[in-house]
Amino acid sequence: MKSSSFKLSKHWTEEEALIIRKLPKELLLRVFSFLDIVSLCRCAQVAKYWNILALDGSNWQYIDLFSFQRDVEVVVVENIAKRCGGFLKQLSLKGCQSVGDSAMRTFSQHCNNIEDLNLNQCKRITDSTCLALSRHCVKLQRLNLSSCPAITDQALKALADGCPQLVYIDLSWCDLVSQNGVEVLAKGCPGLMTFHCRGCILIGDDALTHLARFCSRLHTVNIQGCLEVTDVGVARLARSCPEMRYLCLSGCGHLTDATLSSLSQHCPQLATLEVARCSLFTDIGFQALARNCHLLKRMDLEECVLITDAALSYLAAGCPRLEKLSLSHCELITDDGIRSVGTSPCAAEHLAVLELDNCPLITDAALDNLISCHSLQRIELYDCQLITRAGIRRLRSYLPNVRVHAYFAPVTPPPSVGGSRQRYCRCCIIL
Amino acid sequence: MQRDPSDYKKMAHDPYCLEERIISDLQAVMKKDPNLEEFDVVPVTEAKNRSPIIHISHNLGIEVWCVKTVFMYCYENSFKLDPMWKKEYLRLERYTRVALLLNPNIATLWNTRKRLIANHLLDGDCDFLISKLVLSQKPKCVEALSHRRWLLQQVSLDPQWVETELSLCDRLSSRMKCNYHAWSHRQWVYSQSLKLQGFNLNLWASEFEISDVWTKFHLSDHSGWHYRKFLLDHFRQNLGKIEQNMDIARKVLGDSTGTATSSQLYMNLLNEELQKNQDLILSFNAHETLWYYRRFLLQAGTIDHSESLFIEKCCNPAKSNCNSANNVDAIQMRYLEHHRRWLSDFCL
Repeated sequence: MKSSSFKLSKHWTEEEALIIRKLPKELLLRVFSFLDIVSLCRCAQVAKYWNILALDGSNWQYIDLFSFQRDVEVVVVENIAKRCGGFLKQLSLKGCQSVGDSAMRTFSQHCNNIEDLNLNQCKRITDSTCLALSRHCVKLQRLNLSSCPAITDQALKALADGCPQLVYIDLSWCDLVSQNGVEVLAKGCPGLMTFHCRGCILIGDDALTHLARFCSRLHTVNIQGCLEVTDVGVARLARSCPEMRYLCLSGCGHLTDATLSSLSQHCPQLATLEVARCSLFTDIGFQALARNCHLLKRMDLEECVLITDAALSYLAAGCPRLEKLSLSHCELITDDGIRSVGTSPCAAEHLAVLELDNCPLITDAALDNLISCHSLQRIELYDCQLITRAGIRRLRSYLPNVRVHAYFAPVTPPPSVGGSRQRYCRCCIIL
Repeated sequence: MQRDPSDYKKMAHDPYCLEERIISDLQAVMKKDPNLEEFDVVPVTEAKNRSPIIHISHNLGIEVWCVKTVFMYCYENSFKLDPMWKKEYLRLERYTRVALLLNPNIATLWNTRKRLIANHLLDGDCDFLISKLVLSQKPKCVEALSHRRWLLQQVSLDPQWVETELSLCDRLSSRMKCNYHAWSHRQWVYSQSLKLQGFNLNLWASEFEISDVWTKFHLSDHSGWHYRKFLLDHFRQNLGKIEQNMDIARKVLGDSTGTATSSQLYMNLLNEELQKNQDLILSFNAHETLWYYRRFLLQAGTIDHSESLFIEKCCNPAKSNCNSANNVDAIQMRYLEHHRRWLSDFCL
């Protein structure tokens, strides 16, 4: 009895093993290609053949190691590079702080076909990584170097020389990068569409001028916190990039209404505009903007302290697709402004998010004007001290699905009255 | 709408909800002002659309109405998130921080933070601030103190740390009487500083002086007396080192009689303590701590017939008061009887 069951199980495993033998290797690889890297590593430990299949380079075209950022050592990157070779197209090493130049040199020698590389927060990376990339990886299209503080203009020069296909680059918080580097990069990579340089304090009007001169296909630009930027730079950028769709100018405190009017003249495609803390903008600028940029969907006007209800009425009239509007800390906004937004013809359809926190003049009347905005999902009312619980309740009764955020404790319903007793009373009345 | 506790589990992460907003407000204050001194819950009755986080001159307050909802939110989420799931460690840090501020007696959450620190996902500095704030509200919180001890062993210490910790202990023991945890923390800090820097006579003398003042004003505090005993023990264990610096030792202890050896110095100390103890016992009735301390002194030094003289002395004023049938005297008599019995056992 015992022996027969043993035979049966053995037979069974043999047959199963046959399945993996029966299929051609291409199909098996196809099966494996659906697995993520954790499963692949598990499979690699099953058997020799599985190991070969799981570690085949074709399964390792897209790798994101962010979840393992603390464990990724230099050796890991080098081994991955050797195994994947030319197969690897996309690699994210976001947050892998132990990765340094030597690993990245080995990597670029082996993986010549890399297209998308994310080195966010790999703080040990220096210019020599970019040199290696430019020497070996001609196909690089997207490169994220944000929070790699050792990167300088040299790196950009190297990239301009060796990676002409670059369309996306993120240089945020690389604060050694200056206009010289940007100039060379713009010259070398004219196809650039996305350019991020948040917090690069050396970047000013000159850098934007160079971008404007060479990269006319830019559609996404983020220069948040580049304090040197003035109207001149933004105007040049706007003039030569008519396809601009996303622009973040938050924290560029020198900008004035001239910026908004040049955007209005040259960038009609603009969908997202973030101008938080640009405190010199006034109603006049937004009047100009609303005249031409009819496609605006998302606007962040946090701490544009000079704008009043007039700006909101222009926006309500000129930007019918507005979905998300942030007016936090715009302290001059009153109920009238909210009424013009809330009752504008298309707000009912599109407006989904409205942030009004720290607008001290807003009262319950403003909420009453929003009752027709059926798409409204979220409204922020933190620190609007004239807003009352009753006002919020009224809004909720019209728009039951909206998430209203204010500093009020979650309400507890009145304790349910004992049902039986009530019925007893009714009986008494009937009797 | 009321949220029953299971609701918090189901709740999807909404980065804009009330609880998140209050947590960020709290975090912003802690980031802006690293010199925060105190934390407490502030009772308010009016409901206003205003941030419940109050920050006035290095003091942090949270209005009472939001405590329940914020705590439940943080608590549920802290247990939901896995500390090893590295994408979420920042959220986990936020939640454990606030949950612990509001209810510091959850050792699991302190341990979660320990895990984050041990995995280098979190910097230890913030935890010093959190435990300090917790202790300002609950001076007897043993979890916070033990977390602090763990932190002190993990992170690199600046030279001021002994001073900081000792002043913290001062504050804790004065905030709440009979604070055993504060005194044992003090003992730990003292021993740890010995381990790191070697025996320091000046530190010892200042601690001895502090404990002298403390015990004088808190006769019934066992922990305070115990700390004094702990210091005397340390003195005895380091007689060899003191021997090498007799000049300093004499100066520090204010000894002008020209004592030659450190053991003699120690005996002088004990005798001085014995004398002080006798005065205290005679002037304040019925403090068991004094008797315990006396037994330690006798055990540490030598017992001679003067002890029976002392017992006689205690009996006499007691006898004269016997007529008033004072209850306190009865207790004092009982302690005296204990002491006599102990003495006869000990001499055997």
